[in-house]
Parts: sequence; C-alpha cells; structure tokens
Amino acid sequence: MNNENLSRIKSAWKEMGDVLELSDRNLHTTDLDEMKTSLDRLCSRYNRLWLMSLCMIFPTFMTVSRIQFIESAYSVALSIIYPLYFLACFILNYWLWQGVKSINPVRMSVSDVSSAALYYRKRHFSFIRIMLPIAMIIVGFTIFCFSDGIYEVYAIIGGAIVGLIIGTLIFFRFLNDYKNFKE
Amino acid sequence: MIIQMMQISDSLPYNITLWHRMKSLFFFILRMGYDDNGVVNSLELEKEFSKIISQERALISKICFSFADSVEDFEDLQQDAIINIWRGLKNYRGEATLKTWIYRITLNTCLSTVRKQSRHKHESLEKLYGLIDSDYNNREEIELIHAIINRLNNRDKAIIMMWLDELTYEEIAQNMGMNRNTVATLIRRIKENISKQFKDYSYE
Repeated sequence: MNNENLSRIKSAWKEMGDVLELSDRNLHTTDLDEMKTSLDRLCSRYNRLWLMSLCMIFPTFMTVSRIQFIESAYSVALSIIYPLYFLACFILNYWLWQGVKSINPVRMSVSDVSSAALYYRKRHFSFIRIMLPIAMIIVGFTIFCFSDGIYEVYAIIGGAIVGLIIGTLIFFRFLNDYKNFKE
Repeated sequence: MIIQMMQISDSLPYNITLWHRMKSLFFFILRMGYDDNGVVNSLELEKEFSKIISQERALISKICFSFADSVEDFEDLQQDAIINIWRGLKNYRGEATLKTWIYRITLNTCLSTVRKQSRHKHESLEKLYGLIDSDYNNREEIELIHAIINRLNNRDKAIIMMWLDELTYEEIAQNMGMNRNTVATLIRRIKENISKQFKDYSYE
C-alpha cells in the first residue's frame, strides 16, 4: 500500500470521532447500573428458554402418559420421547446460556471475546439444525399414533402449524439479533 | 444446636466467641451501604467516569461507527460500550493506558453485541453516513474507511483500528491477547488486504 493512501486513511480515521454528530443522550450513572446491554438481553433470552424447557419435562410426561385412547405402546413411547426432547432442549439452552454468560467484555481479551461470540453463535445454529428435524419427526410420529381419530390428527397438525409459526418467529428474532460474525 | 454453637465458640482462640464474630459481620454488612468513604468513593467514581466519557467520546464513537450498519446500531453500540465502561471502571487499576483500556472494552462490546440486521442496508448506511458533519471536507474518505473496514473479519477489524490510532504493537498485542510478532504479521497482511480493497474502490 503506498504511503499516500495510508496517510489519507490514518488522518481520516483520526478525524472521524470529531466529525460525527452524536446524540445528546446523557446517561446517568444510576441509570447505567440498571441498564442492560444487548449481550445481557441475549443471556436472559437463553435463560428463559432453558427454564421453559425444564418446566416442560414433567408436564409433558404426565400428560402424554395418561392418554387412554391410543395403544399403550404408543403412549409409553410418546411419554419417553417428549420429556427426552425437552430435556435435550434444556441441556442445550442451558449450555448456550452458560457460554454466552461467560463472555465478559470488560475483562476478556478481544480475540477471546470475538472467538467466543462466533463459537456460541455457530453452536446455536447447529443445535437448531439438529433439533428442528427431530421435532418434525416427533410430530409425525404423534400424528401416526393418533391416526385412528381424525379430529386428533387435525388438532395435532393445527398445533404443529401454530408451533412452527411461533418457532419460526423466535428463530428469525434470533437471526436478527445475531450479527453476521465473520470467521 | 445451641450447645454445639457454645462448644464451637469455646474452642475459638483469644476469647473471640462465635457470637462476637457474627455480630461484627452483621454490623459490617449493615455499614456497607452507608459508609461515608463508600459515598465519597462512588462520587469520585462518577466524576471520573464523566471525565473519561467526555474525553474519550470521540474514540468510542468512531469504533462503534465502524462496526455499525445503521444509526440505531451506532447508538446501541455506543450505549452498550458506555455501560460496560461504567461496569469496568470500578476495577480499573491502570494496568493499561486509559486509551488502550477503552479500546478493549469498546471493541469487545462491538464484537459481542448482538444487533439487528438492517433489511435495507443501503438506505440505513446512507442514514449512518448522514451523521458525518456536512461541513467536513473528507466525507468520502470516512465512507471509504467504513466500507473497507467492514469488509474485514472481526479480528482484523479490531487490529487495524488500533493500528490506525497509533497504539503500539505491545498495546495491540495486550488488548488482543496475542504476542507481538503475531500482531506484526497480521498488521502486514491486513495492510496488503486493505491495499487491494483500496484499488478495487478506486476502480469502482
């Protein structure tokens, strides 16, 4: 790179901070103590997700295991599959929560923060890629188990569609939240 | 239980009973919120914080500006960086220079912060560039730097910003958590990369 271009970039960089019009939003220290950063909000989101998954394990087991009008083998299978699925969700979300929570912009070095942020983002999408097809298989299996009652099948399909819409919305919110971390 | 506690307190040396220890701990906890020194310290900390922010606002802004894609992004990043600086100030012991320390926290905030991706990137960039003082002559230069820096990966982005601000290789290495030679090699490579991009932009 020739020196002329380099010095142009350097001088523009030095002046950059002074020529930006800044908002006159004054932050008081008492507000700062209570304010949350985007990273804090992401942590709270994972926190909510693992709590929700944990809370779902027992109720799904209780509900599915008490269904009378399907074959008992199916009932047993469903009462194992659903809690297991929520248990897996709980473990994954808890792990992501712990990981994201460990990112400390104040104490950690820049490369550590950068690699940790990239790592947990990648893991988040890997988990979605694994868990989403499994969820679809479980819904398919549930439909198969209830195939004798047409209304139950409609209810499952309806529930699955609603769940898919809610899940997609949450997924896109996560996508929006995560900036494209480049390698 | 009480007998057990009495037995424990009897076994403590220098006639310091468990009760005395618990009482002093209780009053220590009680005093924590109302300690005069604490109030003075917190006032001093607030003063120090205001001074740092007014001194280094330009630095924080340009780092956040370089990472932002939109005005909202820019403001959120600045706010998050200021929150983190406030959180870190209590433990800042001057191990690094203030500029280096601010650099690390702001860069870390920008790298770890999750931001909404703009759907209309071109429009939001135009708005972002609208923040540059209209009387400033080298407006295009700043737009060019923003575009070039944004093409780099996060690590290179962080390194080149510190290098442009003339932080020493040691300071960059300290902030990055790398050794000096690695930083020197990376800077050489990034400069070559920027050189290529500069050519691309000048052809465009």
